[in-house]
Order: sequence, then C-alpha cells, then structure tokens
Amino acid sequence: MTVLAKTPLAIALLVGLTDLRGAEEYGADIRPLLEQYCQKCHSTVTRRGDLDLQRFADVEDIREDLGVWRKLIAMLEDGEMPPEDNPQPSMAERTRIVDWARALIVSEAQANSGDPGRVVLRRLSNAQYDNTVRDLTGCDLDPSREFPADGAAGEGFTNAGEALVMSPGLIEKYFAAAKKISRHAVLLPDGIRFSKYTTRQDWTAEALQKIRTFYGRHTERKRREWMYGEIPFAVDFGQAPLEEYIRATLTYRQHSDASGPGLAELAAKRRLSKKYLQTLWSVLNGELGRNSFLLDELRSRWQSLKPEKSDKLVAEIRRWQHSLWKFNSVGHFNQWLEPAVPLVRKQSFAVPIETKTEGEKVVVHLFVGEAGDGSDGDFLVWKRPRFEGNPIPVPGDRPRPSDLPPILLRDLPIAITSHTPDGADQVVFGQHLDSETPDDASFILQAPAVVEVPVPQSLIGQRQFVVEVELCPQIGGAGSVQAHVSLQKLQPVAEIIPPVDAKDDHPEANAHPEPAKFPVIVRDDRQKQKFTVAFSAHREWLPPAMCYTQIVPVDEGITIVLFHREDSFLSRFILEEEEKQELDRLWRELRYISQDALKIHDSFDTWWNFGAHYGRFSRESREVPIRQRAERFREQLRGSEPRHVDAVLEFARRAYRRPLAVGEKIELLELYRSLRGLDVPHDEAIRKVLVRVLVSPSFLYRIEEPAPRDSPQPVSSWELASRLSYFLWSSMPDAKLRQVAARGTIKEPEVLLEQTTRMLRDARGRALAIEFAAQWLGFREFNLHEGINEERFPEFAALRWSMYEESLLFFEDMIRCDRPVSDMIDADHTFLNGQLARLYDIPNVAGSKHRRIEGLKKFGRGGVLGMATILTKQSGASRTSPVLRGNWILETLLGNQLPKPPPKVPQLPNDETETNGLTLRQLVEKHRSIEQCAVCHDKIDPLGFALEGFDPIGRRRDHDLAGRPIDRHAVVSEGPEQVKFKGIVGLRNYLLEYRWEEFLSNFCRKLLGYALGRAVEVSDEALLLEMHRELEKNDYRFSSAVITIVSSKQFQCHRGRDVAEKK
Amino acid sequence: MVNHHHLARRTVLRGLGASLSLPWLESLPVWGDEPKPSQRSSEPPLRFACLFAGNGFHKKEWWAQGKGEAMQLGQVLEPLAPFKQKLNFFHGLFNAEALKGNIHSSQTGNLLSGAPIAAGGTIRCGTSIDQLLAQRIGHQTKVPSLVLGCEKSIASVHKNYSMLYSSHISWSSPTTPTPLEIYPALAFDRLFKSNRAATGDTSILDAVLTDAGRIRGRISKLDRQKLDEYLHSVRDVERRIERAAHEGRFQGWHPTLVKPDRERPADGLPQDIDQHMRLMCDILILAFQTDTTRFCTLKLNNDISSLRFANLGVGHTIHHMLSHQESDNWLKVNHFFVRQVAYVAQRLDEIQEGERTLLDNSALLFCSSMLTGNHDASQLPVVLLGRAGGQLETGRVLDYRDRPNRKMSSLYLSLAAKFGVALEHFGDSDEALAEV
Repeated sequence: MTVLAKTPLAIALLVGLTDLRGAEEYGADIRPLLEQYCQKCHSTVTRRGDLDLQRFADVEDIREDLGVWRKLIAMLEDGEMPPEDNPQPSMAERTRIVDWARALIVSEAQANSGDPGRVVLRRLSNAQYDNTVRDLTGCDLDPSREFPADGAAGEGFTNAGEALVMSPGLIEKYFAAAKKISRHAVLLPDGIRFSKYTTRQDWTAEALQKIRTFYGRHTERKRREWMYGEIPFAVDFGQAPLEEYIRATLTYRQHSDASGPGLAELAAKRRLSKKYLQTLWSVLNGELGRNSFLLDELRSRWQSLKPEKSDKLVAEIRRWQHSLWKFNSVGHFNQWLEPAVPLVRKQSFAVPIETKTEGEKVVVHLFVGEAGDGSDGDFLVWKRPRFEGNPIPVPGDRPRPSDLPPILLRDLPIAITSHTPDGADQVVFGQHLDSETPDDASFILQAPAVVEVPVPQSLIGQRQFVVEVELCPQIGGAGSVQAHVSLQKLQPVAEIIPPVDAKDDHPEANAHPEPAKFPVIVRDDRQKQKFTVAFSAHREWLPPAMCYTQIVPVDEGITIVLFHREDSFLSRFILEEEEKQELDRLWRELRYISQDALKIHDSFDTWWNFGAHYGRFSRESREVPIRQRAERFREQLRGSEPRHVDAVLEFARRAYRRPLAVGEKIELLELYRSLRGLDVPHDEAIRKVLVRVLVSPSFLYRIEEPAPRDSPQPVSSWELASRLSYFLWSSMPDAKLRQVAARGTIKEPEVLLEQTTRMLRDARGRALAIEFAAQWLGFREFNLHEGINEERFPEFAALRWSMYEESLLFFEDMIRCDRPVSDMIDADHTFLNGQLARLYDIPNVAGSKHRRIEGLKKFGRGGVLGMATILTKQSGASRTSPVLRGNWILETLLGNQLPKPPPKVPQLPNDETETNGLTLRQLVEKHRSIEQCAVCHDKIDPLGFALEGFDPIGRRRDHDLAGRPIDRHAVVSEGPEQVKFKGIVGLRNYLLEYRWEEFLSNFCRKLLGYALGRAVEVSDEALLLEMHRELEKNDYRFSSAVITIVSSKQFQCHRGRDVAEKK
Repeated sequence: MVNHHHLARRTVLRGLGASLSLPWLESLPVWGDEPKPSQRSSEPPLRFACLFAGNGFHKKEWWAQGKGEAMQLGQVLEPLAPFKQKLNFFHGLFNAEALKGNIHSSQTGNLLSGAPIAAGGTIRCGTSIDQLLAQRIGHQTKVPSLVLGCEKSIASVHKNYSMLYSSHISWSSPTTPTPLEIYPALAFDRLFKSNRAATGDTSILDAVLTDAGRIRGRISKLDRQKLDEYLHSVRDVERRIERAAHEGRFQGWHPTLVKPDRERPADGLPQDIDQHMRLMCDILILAFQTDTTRFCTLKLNNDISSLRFANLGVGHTIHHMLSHQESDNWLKVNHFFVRQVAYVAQRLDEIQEGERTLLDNSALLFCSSMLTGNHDASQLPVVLLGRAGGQLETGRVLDYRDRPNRKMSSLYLSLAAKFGVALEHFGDSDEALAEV
C-alpha cells in the first residue's frame, strides 16, 4: 500500500491550472491513468460505490462535480484505492493524478471562491418551527410534537432544504397546528396576545394572576379571617413590608450625615418603593402628620430605636392599624376598609370567675390607664361592681339569665386595695377625695391605678364579676382613660394602649361587631376631637393594607360583583406614574377578557330575585347602571375590532420576517372581510386569518428572492436578518434585529458584528448548542436514548437527562460566553449536578441543578471525550465498543471519511461477559488480524481502546463487566512513526499534537455547513481557511468562526435567480 | 365572496401554466385536467401494501421450499404457514443500486424504486412504486395512499448519505421522501376524519396558494421545485375537501364496510411496540376494507432500528444490535415481525369481497433491505401474499438466483401491470419479472 504525504487542500491554495493546460493534460495524461487503474470498477456501467469516473469526458465535466475528485485525491493519498489485489499505479503516477486534480480544484476554488452555492429553499425544521412559534407568540406551545421527524442533509444537519420535505399529510398537520395556535390568541382592548391557555375562563384567571403578581411586586399577601356571628369571613390583601421600610429609614438615618446611600438608592437596593420610603421618612421626621400625639409617640420611639428592635415598633403600628381600621366583606354595599373609632363614653365588663382547682385563690384586677395624655381629669367611676349569677346555657338558643340574686362588692367582707405608682391604698365606696360622691355601691379611681379584688369563692358561688365604667361627670369630664377588668395581674400604665390587642392572623383582629378591648373612654368633646385627629393622622399615613389582592369577592353571601378593585393606597403611596398606567392597563385587560360587564348584566335577574329582600333600592336604580355598563362594553368591543385586525397584520409581518407588500396587506384584510361576510364572528375571523398566516409559504419557508441575474447577489436586509437568526437561534429575528433590518443598517459591518455578538450571548444561543453541536456530535435528544441495557444499567434511564444537560450546558457556555473551541478536546471544566457527579465520582457536588465544575482533568475527564453522552452513545447495550468510539473520533470529530465495512463483517457478542474468556479488546484485535479489516480498524480501534477506561454509560472503571482488568494502551501509525499513548489523557494529547488541524478543519466545515444549510463545496475552501486562521488569531474563540462566516460572501449573498443550475 | 376566491385560485392556476411538468409531477394529472371519477366496475379493486422490516432476518431461518400446501418454511416464516397457498416466496431478487454507496443509509431508500441514491448531503432517490401507483390511480379513493411507520425517522448524515434514506421507503418524488405517520390516532384521522371543511378553510387554502403563486415567480428555479412540493400538497388537501362534498355518489362495487368498526385510537404514541404495530396493522386493514385507500406502506421499523422488545423478553437491547447476532433472541424478534404480516393476511383473508377475499384482491409485499444483519443486500428477503385479484398464481417458491433478470424493479413492473398501470420501465428495469 502506498501512502502519499497529505496536504490539506486549504493550505494548498497556491498554484492553479490554466484552463488550456488543464484540458490538455487531462486528455493526454490523466484520463488514460484512470482508465488503466480505476475504471474496471468505476465505469459508467459498473459504478461500484456509486462512483462513475468514465463520465468525465473533459475538464468541464470535472468542474461540474469536483466533490468526487476531492474524494479521489483522499483515496489515492491514503492508499485506499485501488484495492490491494488490483494493479497499482506507481508512486509517480499517483502523484501526477493527485497534483493535477488538486491544481484543478485549486483553480476552480479560486475562480468560484465565495460562490454562495446551491442552497435549496428551506422549510422551517421542526425545531425552528417550534422556536419561531414560541418567539412569535411568547408561549412555549411545542406545536410540532406530532410532526414527522425531519431528516438531515448537507453536512448532516436538519436545516438543509433538501431534507425538509412537504406532503399533503404534513400540510394538514401544519393546518391543524395553526388552528391550535390560533386558539391561544387572546384579544385585548388594544391588540392580541397569546396565552398558553385556550378558554376565556383560563385567560381570565391569567389576567387576574397578572394583577395579583403586580400587587405582589410591592406588597406581601396577608389574610384576615373573622366570624360574623356563626359565619366565617376572610379577606386577602396586600400589605407593604413595613419592617423593611422601617429598617431602611434607620439605615438612612445612620448614614444621612454624609457618605451613605440616598433614600432613592437605598430603596432601589432593597427593592422598596422610593416613593413610600420617602413618605415614611417624612412622617417619622415630623414633616408629615404633625398634629397627632399618636404619631408623636411613634416618632419618639423611632428616634431611639435600635435596628434589631424594629420589629417591636412594627408590631405596635400593626396593633394600631387593627384598632383604627375594620375590614369588611366586599360585596355590593360595604367599603372593604372602614375606619374604626375606638372612643366610648361608657364601658361594661362581665368577667366569668373560672378556677382550675377548688380553693384556688382568684383575684379580679380592675385597671384604669391614662390613655397617654397624663392623669388630668382621669377620674373613672366604677359603677356598682358586683357578682351576678352566671347565665345558663340553653342548647340552640341564647343563654338565659340566672335566678341567683346579685351580690354587691360593697357588701362583701373583703379588703379591696388600689395600687398606684405612688403606693397602695384602700378603696372606699361612695366617696372621693374631692367629696364628689358617687352612688354608695360605686367608687372612683384616678388613672393610673389597678385595684385588686380577692374573690371569696365560698360566698359568690356560680357568679361572674360585672361592672360598668364612665368618667365622673363632675371631675373627670375632660379626662381620657382606658379601663380593663381581668383575672390576670395588671400594672398601672401611663401610655395609651392600642385598643385592639391582636395579630393579623388572630380572629379577634377584626372582631366584628364587638368593641375593642381597650377603647379610650372620653366624655368631653374637645378630648374626643383630640383623639379623633390623632387617629386620623395614623390612618392617613399608615394604612393597614395597600390593595385588595383577592379581587374576586367570594366572601359575600350574594354579590353581583365579579372583580373588585381596591388599590388606591397602592397607587397613592407606592406606584410611580408608569406603574399606575400599567396597573390600569391590566385592569382594563381583565375587564375586557372576562367580559364581566356582560356577564353581570346577564345575571342581573337572578341576583335581583335573590337580593330583592334588601328592599333598599328600586330595581330600576340597580339595573340601569349595570345595563349601561354592558352597553358601553359592547361599544368598546366593537371599537377594538380594528385594533385586532392591525395586530394580525403586525403578526404577519413578524411571521413572514419582513414587511408586507401592499397586495398582501389588502389580501389579508380581504380575507377577514369575506369571513365576516360569511357571518363568521369577529373573534373567529381573526383566528382564521392567523391560521392563514401560519400556513402561508412565507411563514413555513425561509423564502429568499434573488434578483434576476446570473451572478451572486447580496441578500436583502430582511433575508440577512433571518439568515442570522436561524443560524444562531434557530428562530425568527427579534425586535432589535428587525429594527436594524428595517433601517438597512444590518449590512454595515459594525452593526452586523454587534448584532452577532449580542445574539451569541442571548439565551436563545442554546439552540445552537442543540441544533449544531448536539447534532454534529450525535447526542441530540440523548435524553431519549434507548440504546442501553436497563437490566444491566438500571440507573441509566434516570441519568439520561443529567448527561444530556451536561453536554448542552458545556456547548451553551462555549457559545454564549465565547470560549475557545479547543475546550472540546481540552477543557478542564464541565457542568454537573449531584447525580451525574456521583456517576463521575467527583465529590462535593450536590443538588439537581447543574453547575460549573473546574479541575475536571484530575478526575480523568475533560472535553467531549470524557462526556457520558458521547461515551454512552458510542457503546453497545451491554458492552463498550472501542470500534464505535474510535470510529466516532475519526469520522465525527475529525471528519475522516472511512469506506463502508465489507458485506460479511464478523460479529461481536452483545455482552462483554459473554466473550469466551477474552476481553472485548482481545476480540476486536482478533478481528483486526484479518487484513481486509485491518486497513480501517488499525486507525479506528486504538482510539477506542484508549477510552476503555469508561464503561458503557461513561463511568470510570479499571475492570470490565466480567471483572477482567482494562487495558487502555494504544498504538497508532503517523506516517513512519508509531505513536503510543494511554487512556483519555494520552488520547487527548495525541489528538492535540497530531490531529489538531483535522479537528479544527472539521469544526470549521461543520459550522459552515450548518450556517449555510448546505454541503460545503470547493468554492468554500478559502472561507474555511479564513475561519481556521481567524480561530488561530483569536485564541480559538467560538465567535471568531461565527463572525468570519456571517461576514462572508457565502452568508451574505445568494446565487442570482437566473444562474444556470449545475448538477 | 366564495366565487371571488374561486376565481382568485383559478387565476393562480393559470399563472402557473406550463411550468407544471416538473419531476415531482411526472405522474400527476395537470391541474384543471383531473381524471373523472372512473366508472366503478362491479369488481372489487386491487390493493397494494408493503410491510417493511429493517436489518434483515436470521440467516439460517429465512427460507422456503416446495409448492402449495406441501411448502416448507424456515422458522422465521412459520407464522405464515396458514397462507402457504396464498403466497409466493422469492429467492434471489435484488436491487442493484442498493449495493452501491454505504451500508444502511443507502440501502433502504430505494427499495421500492430501484433508483440511484445521491450522496454528499443531497437528497435524491426515485418515486417509489406505491406512490407512483397512488399518483396514477389513487385519486379514486378518499385517500390516495397511506404511509405508516412504527418508528421515528432518523436525522443525521451517515457516511455521506442522509439517514432519510434509511427511514423512508415511500417517495412521492425523487426529492421527496413521504413523511411517515407514526401516530395511530392521526393515521386514523387521515382516513376517516371528515374532509368537510370548516367555514373559511377553503378560503385559507386558496389564499396560501395565491401566496405560493406570487412567490413562485420571484425565486430561483431550484427553489421553485421545492415550493412545488408545497403547492401540490396544498392542492391535494384542497382536492380532498372538494371530493368530500361529492362523497357517496359512486355506483357499482361497494366496500364491505362503510364506516370504521372500531374506535379512534388514543392520542399519542402507544407505550408498547406490540400495541403500536398492532394498531398500525388494524389501520391498514381498515383502510383497505373501507376502500379508503388502496395503497399503503407500513414501515414496521427503521433500518438501524432502535426499537426494543420488552414484550418478547428481549428489552435489554435494540433491534439493530440484535441483528448483528444470529441468536435465539434475534429469531424471536423476527418471528414477531412476521406475526404482524400474518395478522394482516389473516384479517384480510377473513373479509369476503364477492367470491374472493380481500387478501385475494391484494398484493401484500413483505421485505427488508438486506438479507441478514450484516448488510448483505446481494439477495433480498421477499414474500408476496395475495392473488392480486386472481391475476397471480400463488403457493410457489420462485428462485431467480441463476436467472439473468432478478431485479426488484421488474417485480414492480409486473405488479403495476396488474393494477392496470402500464409502465415501459421502472427503476433500473424495463422488463417484467418472469412468472409474476
């Protein structure tokens, strides 16, 4: 066998042939040699291996089909042909053919260099169709799920026009898919949106959710529940995260002197509303809400507040909010939030005396506090404190009064002590220091004080403690107090106590309609006024809820309200102008989508018949506004129809990836009108026009319209935008790309470069990992790989996704972060999750999410050679396959072309434990001892042997499944040299040292073939060379290859419409 | 309004004019010149089906000898024993073009066409016999032809040949492999779902035809050929809708079943391969019985198939790996495939159409693209069931190994003649196969 020294064609772009010389030499020298050595098998008649060399009568014929001659060169150089048992040309003859053919190819390549090539009209592949529909609608609908799988052509990718066929069956599928997609269109007041759902009910829920999500951006969702008698009520509302705001004010206060962040900056950093933070700051600094002693007290506490205590302050504010506000069920008559005014003139108490054990000492505490404004005039009369018989429970009815006679406290033989901050004193009935005497069974106390009443249980029997209190009209008229009776011990206090003492999640927080626990008792109007003002200021600046997040009022027995909007506090305190508009828009959409105006009108009768017993309104007064609203809504619907028609035109523009011609626009409008003419409702007609757009060839195909010339023509700006987006994203151009296409600036090199770099970084760059890298290397859809024996590898099925994701992330990262393509061979990193790291035996990686792992080489991996996807895909079901793995490296990774195996290949066992005592390697080596096989297998097998340290699912191993030690040594011939290496490390170094140029050339070839959607031709050699050089110049960064391609003539031009079709 | 659109379409059609004699259309009638629904004879029609199994069969157990009831069958073929008198076994047929090029990826695509297969990342083969017949005479039924499969097609280029070739035996044109329907429910819909259009459907089809017509004038000749795939596909769908409006006006012979007698299969792909194949077989049977189509190919698996057969207890490895070993498991799997054929034959034979059974009125071809798992295509495994309406003598083992003409394409020429389609040549043959 003769082997010539190989010269990559790209490097040999030196000397071409002149036409004349080439033609002469072919007839005189070359053709006779072919006749002599080749045409026994490769004549027009015999055509062995589909190869007919006889048909090349002259150089013109050869020019038409140079690919064959490239192969011929390779065969002669490799000594593959003629076969050993046939007459062999001499070295000189071989060289003569090769040199001549190469010179011809070079001259051809130079003459046609940059020819855009034969690019067949491309239908969107299934992946492109899915991605395009996704970007067109904003919804991941996966519409191609049941389409037939696409085939591959060109350089082995599913984006080549030739393999993308059409059939009546497929048209029907596109039709059906388009109808399905159109059902996802949601008509809005000002256009069309797509939803993942297809019913009005779901769209309504979605619109609702959008509003709730909006609310959730600024508030925390809270729930308050309460009982109205026997009926439970609840309301969901949004609350500003007050504690975070308070903490922010503290931080700001600490740094406000100098260097710290401004309020706005702080708000942005903590994702708080700048507006509300500013408001709170002003309140806390006394610039707002100045006339409230309640807020004054808050301010003074805030002044001395330590950050870690801020929750205490917030709890206090919350208690006040409970005291000053009442939530109502949202129905037709109520305000959802109502101010509560915890001011009373009188208060009565009835406290049951409950003891756990017989003879336990029970004390009743009577408490009077100053209500925060000093003790002036705080004289409270405790009227006839007494023990009354316990009410007797009646099943199913109210308890009835007891028959026991009441016992006045005065009449009991016990000492009653009053405790004040100044000391203890005896309580005296019927008199006071200032001789203002009440009833002789009553007494007067000045706040602050607590009276202890030891209860003589033996005397009171089944009785409870009862008392009424009010300010003493003569001396206490201008005072204000808070009173309480309790069995617990109480301290006399001067501060005002929040009248309602409960938390949000406590039913008592909205205890309706019972009065507050600690209302302020006042008598005098001035006092009353003082408190009312203080309360109002608190209410004004510190509302308990910003919005009604429930929206759907389900808390009313009967209501005719479908959606209730309450967010005025949110708008006032928190939202910026733009946000207010957004919220208004969301609400408009909800009303529009849900059509609640119509539904309410439709259900008015039912509601009226149920609700008529309210009797407060006439039917007319209730119905008219509802009917008017429905009419207004119908008008709005009609008014919005032209918006939808416009939106369909805009949809078509995006779907066709170019502006519409006037005729197209008219035709779309015409179709809409004709459908309406057939009594198709607006909504349906719009959907049908969408369907029409989605089955149009302008959508389904990537149509390019070359100028009627016979020379290459630049593609249009829009065509270039599509070429770019389908290359990098497998999808349509986005808004930014459309913009530069519309302006035409996309053709300016800087703009093209800028767009290319932007697009590579974009998340949609993942498509390039799937459609290019995974398809090239053969692991696309590895998540569905079925080739492994699950009995032997039960863990495999669950690992497939993790393996696939590793490889995809590796390439996604290479593409989006512009890493060197040499990483494919030589990376020291990859992306693993816990599960896969366990398989790889790499410690300290946990969780189901993949993350970047460095230092991979020390675990015997790195690059695609150590990836489970590759190793598994190129294995048998129950054994490794050094042949498949070696072949993959040669053919797929390095782009070598090996001849097909001879018809009767010896068989290898299915399982590496069933090998009659030999290792798989030994079996394969036996196979190689057959000379016919050795030609290729001497090249293939050693590469696979080096990877024998990985089992069929890519786990590292020292022994095979039958327990025999693994031999990872390999020897390959490089010319006269025998290169020896071992394992993945040796293989990697071998590839880098000896096969690097082949790898890089193949990478360039594959990427170019993918980018252009066609097979790579001789006329692309110069471009391949340029890609090669640019990669070398730019540290092998992925983007440099992409940029070279998109800047090329091949990418930016197509053949003129009138170019003669070459075979 | 309706008229307006009708007019619009006609204008387009006229605009397309002379350019319609494209390779894709070699057998399609020119538009506007559609065949009149032929006078239905009182004779039941002929049907053609091809069931394909990839990767060949067990080397030692694919054989037959003897005649009629005395015929002996190799183990692989045992399930066909009840049909000895209704089948022909062929020895030594081959497809010369399949010997060129690569293994697998260039062996299957031309099985039904005998055409050369293009390498180098382009797609070019030949119109397959089933599609050619469907294009000539398939418009007599609601669905011209049915192309079914039980395995998804493979997307890659293998040793310079697209794996499209491995995945498709039916080709609507030399450049158009007919997409396989692998979803039973969708295949069922294609046959039996009403073609009556929803309001506006025809307007939409007219509109997109207008698009295509407009585009056609602005693109290269090469692209025009590709766009014509689209045009004709849309036109075909439209024609079906038109025909649906006139359904039921034919006289003469009536199929024994008017509506499907079973429910539409569930959506999605069946979990188990035996269910999947059985459903597809049932659809084929139903299609023939209701005379919804007369031409059907069913690709039971791909060449280089990854199917697994847990139902046979050999779920541990894929079909392709099994094919490289002459094991008992391989035999089991072969058997399973032949049982599908036997099932179809049996069901067809149970349906009486006048004096003959539906099987008698059919030509049911069962074959693979190689004899055994080692890619040897020098002789193909071929069995033909049914009497082609009495035109075909059966119960024979026909040996062509030493004859000058042993081309598959010759067999197709013979079969086409029985369907009343006279072809001078087909694929690489211009003479019919002796004795068929």
